[in-house]
Amino acid sequence: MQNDVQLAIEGQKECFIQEIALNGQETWIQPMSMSEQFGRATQRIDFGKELQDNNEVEVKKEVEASPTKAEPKENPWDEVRKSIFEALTEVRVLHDVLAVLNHNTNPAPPANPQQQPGQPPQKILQLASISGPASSSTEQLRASSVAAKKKSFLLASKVIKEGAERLERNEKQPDFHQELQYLRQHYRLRRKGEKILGDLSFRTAGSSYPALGEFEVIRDADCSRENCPLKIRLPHELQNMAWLSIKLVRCDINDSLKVDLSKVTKEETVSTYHHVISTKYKQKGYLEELRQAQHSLFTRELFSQLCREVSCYRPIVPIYMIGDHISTQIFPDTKLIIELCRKPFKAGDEMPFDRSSERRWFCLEQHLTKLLREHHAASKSCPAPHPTIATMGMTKKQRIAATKPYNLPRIERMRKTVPMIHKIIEAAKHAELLRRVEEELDSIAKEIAEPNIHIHWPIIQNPVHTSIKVHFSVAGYEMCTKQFGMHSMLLNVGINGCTAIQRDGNIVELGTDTAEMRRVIEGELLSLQVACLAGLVRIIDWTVLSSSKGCLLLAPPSSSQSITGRVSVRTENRKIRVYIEEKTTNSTPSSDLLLDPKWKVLTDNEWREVDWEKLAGANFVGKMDLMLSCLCKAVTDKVHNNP
Amino acid sequence: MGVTVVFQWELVDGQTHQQAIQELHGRINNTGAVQEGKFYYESKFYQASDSATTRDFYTLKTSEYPVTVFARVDDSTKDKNSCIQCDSPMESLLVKLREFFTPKRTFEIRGTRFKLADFWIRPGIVTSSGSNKCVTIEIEYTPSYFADDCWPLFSELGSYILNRQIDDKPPTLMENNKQFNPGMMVQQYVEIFSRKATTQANFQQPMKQEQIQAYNTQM
Amino acid sequence: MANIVQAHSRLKLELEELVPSLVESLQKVQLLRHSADSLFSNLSEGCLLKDGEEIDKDKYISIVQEKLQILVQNFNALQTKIQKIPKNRFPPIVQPLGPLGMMMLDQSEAAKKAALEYPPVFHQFNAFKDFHKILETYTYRNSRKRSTTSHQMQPAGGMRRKRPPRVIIDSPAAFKQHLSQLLHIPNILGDMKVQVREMFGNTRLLSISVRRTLNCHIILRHIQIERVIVKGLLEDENIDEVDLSENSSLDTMTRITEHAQASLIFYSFSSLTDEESFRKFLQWLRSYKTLFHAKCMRCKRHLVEGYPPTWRDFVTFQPYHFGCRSY
Repeated sequence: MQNDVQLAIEGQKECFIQEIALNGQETWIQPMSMSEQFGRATQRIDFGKELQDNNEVEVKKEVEASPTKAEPKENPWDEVRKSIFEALTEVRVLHDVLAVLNHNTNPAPPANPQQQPGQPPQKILQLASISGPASSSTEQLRASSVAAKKKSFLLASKVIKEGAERLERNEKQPDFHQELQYLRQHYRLRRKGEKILGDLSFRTAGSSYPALGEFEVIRDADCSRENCPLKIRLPHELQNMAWLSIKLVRCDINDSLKVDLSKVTKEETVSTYHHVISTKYKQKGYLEELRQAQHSLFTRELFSQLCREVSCYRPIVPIYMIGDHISTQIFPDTKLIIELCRKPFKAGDEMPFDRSSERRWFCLEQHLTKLLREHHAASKSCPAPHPTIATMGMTKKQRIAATKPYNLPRIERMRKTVPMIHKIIEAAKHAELLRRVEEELDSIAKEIAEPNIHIHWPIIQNPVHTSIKVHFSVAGYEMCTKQFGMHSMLLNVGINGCTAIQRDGNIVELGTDTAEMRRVIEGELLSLQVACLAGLVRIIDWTVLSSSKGCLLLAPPSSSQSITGRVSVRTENRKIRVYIEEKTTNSTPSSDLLLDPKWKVLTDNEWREVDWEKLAGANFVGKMDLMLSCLCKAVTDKVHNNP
Repeated sequence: MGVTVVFQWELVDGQTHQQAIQELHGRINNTGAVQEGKFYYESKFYQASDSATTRDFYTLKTSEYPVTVFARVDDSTKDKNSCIQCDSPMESLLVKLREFFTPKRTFEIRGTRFKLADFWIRPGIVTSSGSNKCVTIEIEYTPSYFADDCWPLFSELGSYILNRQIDDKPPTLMENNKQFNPGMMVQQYVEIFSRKATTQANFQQPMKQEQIQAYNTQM
Repeated sequence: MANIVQAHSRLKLELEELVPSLVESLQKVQLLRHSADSLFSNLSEGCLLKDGEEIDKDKYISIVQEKLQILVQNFNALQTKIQKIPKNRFPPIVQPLGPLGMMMLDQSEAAKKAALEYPPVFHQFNAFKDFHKILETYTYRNSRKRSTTSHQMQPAGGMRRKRPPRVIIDSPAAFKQHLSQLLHIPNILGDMKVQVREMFGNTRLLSISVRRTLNCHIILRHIQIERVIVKGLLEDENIDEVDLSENSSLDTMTRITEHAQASLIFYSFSSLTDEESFRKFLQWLRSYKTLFHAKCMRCKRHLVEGYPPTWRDFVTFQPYHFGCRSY
């Protein structure tokens, strides 16, 4: 035969490789010879043992007599042996290093023992000036060997190339059966008479959608070389591309009462979720088409399932179903629209949405797909009844409910089935709420520069619940807030609103309107600054005379009698105001009754507001820090000057 | 399903069962509890035809464990908890076994269910064959399963509702770190039924047809 | 005894074989060194001799050549000697010859290439290290704040508290080990049982059941708590079925969930490290073992509106009703 293949057969390697040197040389451990093996085996036999048994008493005596002699059991020579080994290793290493430095491509001497020891290998330390005629012969030798190698390589590559070309030519021949085989790896095919039919539906995965999912495989007899001999024919309704578009639209509160929906002129889309199953990988022509058809089948099943649920599910807020639209008001001013879109399929077409204005979140899409798949899975995997006389179609939990036993609330919870539309509405509500919270937090952070807002978003969310940690701090004075402030909170974003849990355990219920959240945060920010100031004040030795949420009265550190120079901080109208007590020089007529100088406080002082925003400093606390330290100096000076 | 304790209300002289229930409702409302639906307990006493080898037992059906039928042997030892939790086919099985076990008496408790945080309070009148026997108050505390742990809560709430001092130890049935199971609740009811049965054993009357009808429509 | 004697004799033989070869090879090494030394000194001197005399160029080259040949001879002698060292006596472990980074300094192209190809991560690693260093200096500079250096903030004795090194958790096993360290609180395991379920990446679900009272499910990222849900004891039958989307059906547990979230905020945004705050949180959680039988410290009662004292003070861990708590 011509296509003989020559096989090189090699004996099994008998030697173990001890090490592979850097130059690729393998050091082998020679297998043991018979005599060696025998010697090793005999070593294991302890001949001394029997002798020992006989002379036990004597040995004991010996041991008693010379306890120091018993020590040699520890093998005193071991250390020596070890260090010798180490020294030898060092030498070998040195040798190896030198060998590498030499560019010694030849293996070590034993490989070429014919070399005379006296003759120096010329390759070592070649200096350009002294490359004498002696080396030319080896150069020539080398050149010739290189040429020979090159030739043989060329020959080999030619053979390989030819083979590859032949293979390529073979593959170009379109083969219907090969294509069919390929198709069968992806879809279920069967023969019906002369036809070959394929199945696109999800019935095997647990779906019970009645729509036709069959396609026909046709052999294109007179096709050209480039084209595929396999063609498919899809039923008419599957030739469309279908996808779900989920939109959140701003609307009036009374929107659902309007009769004519077509008159709605202006719709402001808040966010959109297109439910499209798409992958980046482009496959062969017909496979792409089939995949698209299958996806449209899935989408249509999803939508019809939603429609069916809408028709039998009666929530408080009505859900409307008109044509290919399902709409409901999820919040007073926001509407959820689920729409089924169709478009004839063309290969290589992109999905037609404008991505510029819309923001795509994948959570809802994924949630929808997941819901339907779960639905499929539930209808597919019904456990076998156990014991065999039990009712069919009960889950394990339902079976053990009687004997466990489960109580009423638990059984009610178990029996309750939540329709998909309900789940998706909940998820949409949550997503919208989350979007609003995010936007509001962003805008707060943008507008309010001073105290920093730190937001810790969780990695793991769930479709109906997210908890966000919000922490406030004043730049540069974090420790003050940590010690004295109680101003972090946890935002639990749910379905119908969020709750803010504060550090002291208080719970603030916030509705769907984020303005409430804004107010809470703004209040927190103001009181945070004041609390932070209170923390700072203690550090710089001022005294806090009184403090409540958002109010402070401070006294200077000097232990003077006069208590002028007190500072009062208050929050009024969502702003912080600072007042300083001041001694007026032109004293008002003093009282006749209170003559003690300490009562002068009551009459002599007047409060003046400080325009603290004009002070130097990075933020409120910084400014106050500066002001207080200046004040402190002024007061002490005053005290020392007029005792 | 949490620790459940059944108390018996002692009638004051001249007080009818209805008046007692009224008073109880008032007291329970005062604690801040709210009404939440109705409840019922239905129990049947089966007598064994061959009392030498088989024993009498009670079955209990309740709205609180809707898919379960409890069966409890009428045993004199109180602390032994021998309660069987059965599936609903149990009843049809008992009909087939009527040669060996004959239904003798029926007991019924009906009333309104109250909820206070995690407490369920179920005051009701025990009726046997159409006549009122006594008034019971069942208190269930759902989060806890160990009566030893949560007994202080029971004694505080119970003594307010019952207007008397409650023992400072849980019933011996649930003592010693035993985890609660519904059998303990059945046990307590069976104790009350059997107590009544011994004192008023001669008071047997078949259940009236209208009552059965009324019960059926209620369901 | 015979054993020892046998072993000794074997060793002796071995050493007899080894020591001469060591001596010889060392001699060879010395010879090699000497010849290399003389060659290099010759090369450095150049054509000038010590006395200032100049010698002929050709002669000089021949001298150098001669010396080179001696060097090569010595080297070969060493090589042959080394081949004779009984190899099978050596332990089969190959010692690393030197740091890989030195290969980069090698003059030969092949070695350089190997160094470049072999550890492609090497450079990246170095770059990361540099970046890390720079980052550290920046963060350190920024973290020096007035409040941290103020005299009041420092603990007595003027000694600054050292932060423990941040633990890197990169595998479930590492996490388990770290967790067991964190749970090293006296008696805590008697009251709490901890189960771990791996979620995604560095996120885990920790289910802690406090003795006969409640179950607390914690979503942990690294060692930071992301979410807490408190549920009743038998509400979830096993850790894989925990429903994290719904609060507990028990009102008491919903309330405790809220408290736990507040405590999470309290501990995590304080001056404690992550580990310390997690540990504090666990200790706080443990105080719930008395949920059903502790009296409120203020009103000395058990029930208020049907609730036991659900609040635990964050510092003292004492039980209060939510309305009775002091803050």
